[in-house]
Amino acid sequence: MTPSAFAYMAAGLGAALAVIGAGFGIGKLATGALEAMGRQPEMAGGIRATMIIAAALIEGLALFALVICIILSGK
Amino acid sequence: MKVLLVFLSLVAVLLSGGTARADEHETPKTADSITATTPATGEASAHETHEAHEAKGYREREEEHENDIRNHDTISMQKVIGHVLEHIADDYELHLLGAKVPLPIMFRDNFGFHFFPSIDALESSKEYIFKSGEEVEAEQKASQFIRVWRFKRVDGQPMGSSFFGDFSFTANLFFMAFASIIIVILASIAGSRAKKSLVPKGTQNLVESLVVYVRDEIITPNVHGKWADKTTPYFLTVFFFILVMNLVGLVPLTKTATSAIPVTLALALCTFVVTQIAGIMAMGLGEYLKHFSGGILEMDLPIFMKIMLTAIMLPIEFIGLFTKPFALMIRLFANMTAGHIVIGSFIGLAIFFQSYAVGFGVSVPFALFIFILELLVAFIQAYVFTTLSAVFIGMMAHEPHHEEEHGSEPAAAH
Repeated sequence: MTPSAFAYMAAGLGAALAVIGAGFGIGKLATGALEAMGRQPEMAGGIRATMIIAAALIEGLALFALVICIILSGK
Repeated sequence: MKVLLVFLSLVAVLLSGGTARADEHETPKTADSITATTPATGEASAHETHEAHEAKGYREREEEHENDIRNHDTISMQKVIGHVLEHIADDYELHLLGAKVPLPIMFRDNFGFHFFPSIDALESSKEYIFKSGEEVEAEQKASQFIRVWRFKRVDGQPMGSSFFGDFSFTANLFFMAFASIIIVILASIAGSRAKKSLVPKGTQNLVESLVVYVRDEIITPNVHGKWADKTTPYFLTVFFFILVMNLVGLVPLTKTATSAIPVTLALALCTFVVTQIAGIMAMGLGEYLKHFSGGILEMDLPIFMKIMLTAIMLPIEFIGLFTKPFALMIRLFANMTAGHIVIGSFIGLAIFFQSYAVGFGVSVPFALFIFILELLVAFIQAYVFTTLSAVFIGMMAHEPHHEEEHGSEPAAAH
């Protein structure tokens, strides 16, 4: 296997791992937010806004990882 | 169970499309192999075609490239994906249903400032020529994603940096300007109506509901005190600019300006500058510099501990200064690009399999579904960018008596 083959493999595996982590994180976030909304429906608006911000931050971390994968796949 | 059924039918459709294609092209393939039986001449002719390829002009190469995707025998997934990525990338002209609208090319290289009204004018100047797609790709790979020139000098002399040199009015820039014009028209109509009567009607209703939403849901909860009113124009501008650019990009034949890194970089830089200026103005320069210690200096600690901890916190806070706008940039870019690549890939499936079954069974419904998702994403990303900007600016532009909250706030900024 050539070094670039390893780079492609690392990029693929890295992207998969990053997405697994982010998916787990956003899943937990949504669970928490939905439970909170179910308990206190009057707070739904505020919870939704906070949830979107937190989801965006988690997504940002996953995107950082994906950028590294894209750079690796360009090697 | 339902998911499994859908999956199975999908696979069946894909397979039927694939086999149909294989049957269709049984004959041309054998014809190909017959012509390629004489290896020596085949190699020589390949070399010749490469030479001829280099000598061709931009238009001829482009036509050849476009016909390549229509040719059943030479099609491959890689080529389809290549075409999808090309469609998303920036261009020096607008492609509107066959008609090509030229845009001016302006650049400054080692040989001074140059202006050409179109690609053809640049080609016929006998001074510069466009590089072939493979050449640009190879150079881009070698330069580690730093932008390279799309054209070169005929005499082969180096042109200098393209990052600051090439400021052509490209397609992305065109649609950015288009978005700004839409915003200016909408805002001036709504503004002049609002002066006459405060009861919203028509356009004023549309704009006012969004403005009130941004003020009440994004700015007021995050930015406190007098800074809310001071920064409102900035947030409204950013929100509407990103929203309209995202929505314009969803109209067929247009390009999404926000799916280009330079655009999102500029937007994130604006937020960065506003954040720092608001921080300095709200806290004063001394307090602003103090906050780089991450609140260590206000703690009740021995002086030695303070110095040691500040030495640790300083680089962390300093890097944190740049990761926030960097994350804003990447988030907007990646979200807007990803949706378009997915839509393009679904359309590309029909082209790859050369089958109506795949086209109507997979491409159209899935592309439509992603398109509707993209409409949602266009709003969410404008909202997220504005909200995060508001959170960052609100963190910096707090009143002095809110100082004790500072310790807990960086958690929101990852």
